[in-house]
Amino acid sequence: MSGSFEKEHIVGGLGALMLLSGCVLGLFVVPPMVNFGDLGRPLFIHVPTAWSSLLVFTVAFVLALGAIRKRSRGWDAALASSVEVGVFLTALLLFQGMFWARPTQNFWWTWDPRLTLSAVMFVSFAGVLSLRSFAEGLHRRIMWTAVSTIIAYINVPLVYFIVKITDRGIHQEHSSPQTVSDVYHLALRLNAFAMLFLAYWFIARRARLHLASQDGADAGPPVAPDGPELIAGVEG
Amino acid sequence: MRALHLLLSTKRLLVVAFLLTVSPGISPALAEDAPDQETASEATTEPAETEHNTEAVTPSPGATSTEPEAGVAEPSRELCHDDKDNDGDGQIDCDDLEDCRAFPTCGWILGGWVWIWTIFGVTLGALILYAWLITARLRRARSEGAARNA
Repeated sequence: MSGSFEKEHIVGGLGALMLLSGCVLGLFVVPPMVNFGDLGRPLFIHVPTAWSSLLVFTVAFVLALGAIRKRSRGWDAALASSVEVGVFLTALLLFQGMFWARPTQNFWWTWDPRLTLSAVMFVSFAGVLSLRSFAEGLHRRIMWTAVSTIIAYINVPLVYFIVKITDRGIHQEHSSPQTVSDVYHLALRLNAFAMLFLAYWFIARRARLHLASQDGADAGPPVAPDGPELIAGVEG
Repeated sequence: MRALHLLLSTKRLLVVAFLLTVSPGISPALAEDAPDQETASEATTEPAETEHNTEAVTPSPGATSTEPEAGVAEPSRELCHDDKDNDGDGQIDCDDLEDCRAFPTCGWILGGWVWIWTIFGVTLGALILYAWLITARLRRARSEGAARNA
């Protein structure tokens, strides 16, 4: 696999181009927003980051179910990668939100329901990665990662739907194309798909790195004394 | 590896993304503040009834009695980000402190662009750094693997 062109580069390259275009549009082309003027422009990257982080965690949830069933290194690598990319995107999301709130709302942080749940989401999935690093053996690592991912995922739909449940806080209820001016659609869509494509590229590359690193580890003594049959069944 | 192969079905992903991008009415939620159901050019020239601006343009008690009745054109108010003197008091945008003191971009150096560049710059920088880290580590892991096999 290593010698040939890897197809995820097509998606990654496309994502980078789209992100560049979307950022240029959002920064320089679209008119300022009514309520925030130019300070509304960070929303063109903040909102797509939020969408993609929620989607990546959803992918992680599906992979966790698959990993429990298959218990192979491939599923484990894909699961761990998607959790890591989700945590990375959520960290970016929280940073963007804080740096946007300071000039527009005059605070760095508030206990807004969605904000609080996003922080909980960040900490809980970071905890999955931390827990995983303590697990010895492939079988145990897969199970710990998958089960803790499923538990952490319970919060993800809440992050998305909390604005429907309560109107307290600084986040507004879901918008739709009908409630957003037409001139903002293209920049938003470009960045949304760009972040999604880049997340896909990150997950794929990170999964390959997991597998390549484990190949190195497997060259020594057996890695998983409690699950040798799993290692034997792995496709390279 | 089936999971990885599933992830890597590039063609399928691209087709779905293309269909979603070109289809009307699929863009989800945004714009905490995007002007509703107006073109932006109209929206940016309409008086902004924001929390900030509403507070800023609330007329003084003496002026309340001169508020126009329904159907009569409202006196123009200062919009704080359009480079125009909307209310005709000789002061434009953030210079019109009476109207724009509370507007987000007023009162910040360079109209808040330092914040905007920080957010975009750190985000793009972090994405590039993460990509570089993964690529470098993958390259090293593969070269170590190749050396071991040799």
